[in-house]
Amino acid sequence: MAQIASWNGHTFEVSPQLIRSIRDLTLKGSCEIEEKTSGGQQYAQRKNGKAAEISFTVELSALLGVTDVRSEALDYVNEANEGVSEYFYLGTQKLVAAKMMLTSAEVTEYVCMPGNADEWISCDVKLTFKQADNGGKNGSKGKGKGKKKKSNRSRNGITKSLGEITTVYMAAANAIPEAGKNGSTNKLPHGTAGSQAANLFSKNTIQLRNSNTKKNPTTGRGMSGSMGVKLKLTR
Amino acid sequence: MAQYIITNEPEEVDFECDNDEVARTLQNAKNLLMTRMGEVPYDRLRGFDHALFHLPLDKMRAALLPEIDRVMLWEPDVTVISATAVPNENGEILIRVIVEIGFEE
Repeated sequence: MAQIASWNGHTFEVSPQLIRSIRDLTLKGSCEIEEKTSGGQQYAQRKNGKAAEISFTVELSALLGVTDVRSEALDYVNEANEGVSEYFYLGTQKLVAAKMMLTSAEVTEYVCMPGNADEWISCDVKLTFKQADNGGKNGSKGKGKGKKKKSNRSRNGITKSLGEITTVYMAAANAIPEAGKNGSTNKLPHGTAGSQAANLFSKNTIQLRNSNTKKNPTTGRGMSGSMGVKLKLTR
Repeated sequence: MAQYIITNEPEEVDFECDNDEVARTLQNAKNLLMTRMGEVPYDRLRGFDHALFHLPLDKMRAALLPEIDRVMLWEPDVTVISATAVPNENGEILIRVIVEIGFEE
């Protein structure tokens, strides 16, 4: 297979027509620690994980099939300046599950045509990537609004620990047929089976609401989400 | 996080899904994989690009995961872990995608 790796439309490959190879590939993972003392013995405790880092050097050479060395090198520099994020694929798999942001591009070993500095023959570009925000799927929201809460779901629906609430909840849903269908957040009115359940399990609140609408990546407009009700327990 | 497998083999659509969001999200992901790019008149970029089926198998495998990542942009609760393409006994390409589901709340 010719292609070694790819990122944001840049392909790194070795083929009869083009050699754009990479070297010194490094993948780094680390965490931030806190030193504590207990019983006269120091120990390290993990605070949080640091962003994964990938770095490698790309060899661009017009003699090896790269048509415009200068513009490719400057593309990397501009993308580093803008902090472009995309998945980094090594072979046919992602090297890191999250998107990688290009944080640094260093152009070195520049060689130009004799008498014409505008025409680049070859250069090396050292690229450094850091793990980017995955839109809330890496444990926290991008804007720092707090950690993502994972509902305790299973393929069979609500888990056993919520069995009793489920029974009362379904009765409440039958009592209020329009709940959850009008697009607004509804709370159970007093006197319904659901609110009685809320009183029985006073530490929990039951809300009926639509699934979140999602935005169409092409147009940016909201897409109609599912119309099912969602059970949320807050403790 | 639990991982699930979806393929491009035709299956019956379950419109109810027993109100299980995980099953519904998986079905959404499968529907996106089964949708051909250009098929939806108001969203011509949605779906899998069938031009990949015309590539040599090794080039198709190289281009497959980025294309699946693009397809799953329409279902943001799904994260693609890996994708494979294997020809079956009829010469058809069977695509197998391993995904994780994480709901944003």
